[in-house]
Amino acid sequence: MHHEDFVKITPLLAVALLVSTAIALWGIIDPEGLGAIAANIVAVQFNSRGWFIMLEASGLLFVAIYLSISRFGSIRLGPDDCEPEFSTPAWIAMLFAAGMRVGLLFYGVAEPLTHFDTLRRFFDDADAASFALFITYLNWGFHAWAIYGVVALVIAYFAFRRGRTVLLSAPLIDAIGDHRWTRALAWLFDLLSIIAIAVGLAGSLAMGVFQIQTGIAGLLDVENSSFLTAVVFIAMCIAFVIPLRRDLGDGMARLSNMAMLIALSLMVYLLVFGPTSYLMNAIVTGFGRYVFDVLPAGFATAEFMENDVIDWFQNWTLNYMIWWLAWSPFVGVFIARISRGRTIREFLIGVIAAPTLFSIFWFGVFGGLGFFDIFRLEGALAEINRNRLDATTFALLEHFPLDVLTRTATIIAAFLFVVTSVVSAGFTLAMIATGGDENPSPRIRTVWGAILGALGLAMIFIGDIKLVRSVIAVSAIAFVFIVPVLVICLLRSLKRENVK
Amino acid sequence: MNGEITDTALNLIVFAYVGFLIWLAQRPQP
Repeated sequence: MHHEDFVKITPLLAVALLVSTAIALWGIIDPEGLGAIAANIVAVQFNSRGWFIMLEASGLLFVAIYLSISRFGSIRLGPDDCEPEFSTPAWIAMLFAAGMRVGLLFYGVAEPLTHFDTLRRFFDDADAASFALFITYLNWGFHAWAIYGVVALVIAYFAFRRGRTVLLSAPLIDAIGDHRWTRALAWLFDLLSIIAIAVGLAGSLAMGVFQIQTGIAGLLDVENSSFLTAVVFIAMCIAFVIPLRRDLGDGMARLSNMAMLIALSLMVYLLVFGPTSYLMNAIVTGFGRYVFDVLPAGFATAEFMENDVIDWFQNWTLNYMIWWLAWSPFVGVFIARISRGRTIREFLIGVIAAPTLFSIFWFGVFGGLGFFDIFRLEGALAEINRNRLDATTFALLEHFPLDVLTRTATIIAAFLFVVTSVVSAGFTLAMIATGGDENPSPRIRTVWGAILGALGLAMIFIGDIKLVRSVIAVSAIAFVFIVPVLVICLLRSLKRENVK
Repeated sequence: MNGEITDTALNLIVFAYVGFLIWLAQRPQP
């Protein structure tokens, strides 16, 4: 039922709106202040608790491995006799789509090359290149998807098998009991997931704007000015408010498929028209090193290294782990919804292996092209990358024929990725804030759209991608402590299951 | 010195939190 004119103001909704609006206003009025405080908090947290964050990411990977090989693996996410809603190939395709974020478009070359710059000080160039790919895979691979996968598993298990809502408050009440303190903690979980989703998506909105404007400025040969920022930002706001105000049916899914298709075509194009065997060698070398060394690397912090290596480790690997935690309630709801009826075993194997393999392929192609430029050509890409991370992908495309077409396609795909994820975030936020209403009214969705826009504007004012990442990280720090509680809830409930 | 106190305090909170997780896992089923 749609209740167009009636939105029940619950304490959760009121507090969530208040806190998000306050953060947005703070960022718009005093962006430097917000950025500086966030950077400070993140530095202190990463220095003191970096070990715990890595331990947790690895721990979640081991929980996932344990659950998929244990007797619990045969439990279905739904009643015992239910069938999966989607065919396995369709499901895997949707998992790829969940993993394909706008970040891949821009960090495909930039990230491996940045790691290479740090690592070549300690290793010879060949070793540094394969290590750089390894670190990129570590940041985007099994650990990332174990975080998403386990959170999604908790959501799916309690929603479909235990008949609760898809909110993070559900596991606590169901597995620990309905007490005053569990209800208070559960309420806090919902509030914190709203804030993490809102700030996280606003951050990715801002980063999308920066990246798209860099692309447009290069393509049209115009100045990369704040006027251009305003144009891109306003276009994006219009694009995501329309589908939030009125239902477009499967229109959003089609747009997101289109973005996915463009990105895939781009990868295939580069693989075919680029140095194909060189890239396949990069993929196979990177894959082997990753699969055999990934487990110990997940526990490695850079503590014994020099200060700037520690900084590098915190800015990338630790930051990514926090980032995956920040987005886990959002991506988790999506993955849970498409996975009803799967067994825990096939769920975990699908969710962790499929997107990781995709990332290995993706970064192998893009990173491989970056290394080809360094080792076989004049190495101009590395220089561009040192100056402007978000310009690297476009500089790479300029090396290839039809570059106007491919650069335009990249800009369109990036735009679609950002808009579709903001729309989906608007829905999810409205759903959580209304206590799990699967069909939140357009009015409340639009309110969340406006707040995402305001938060996005605040992030744009902050201006520096590094500071934007810090703000996202601060909003997600609570999840370092929420996720293990959810895992305990899941393990407690699984123990009550009657499995042979 | 100030930084060290913060560092120790933040880590003690993590240890306490791990204790909380163990307590949570040991609670009787509802």
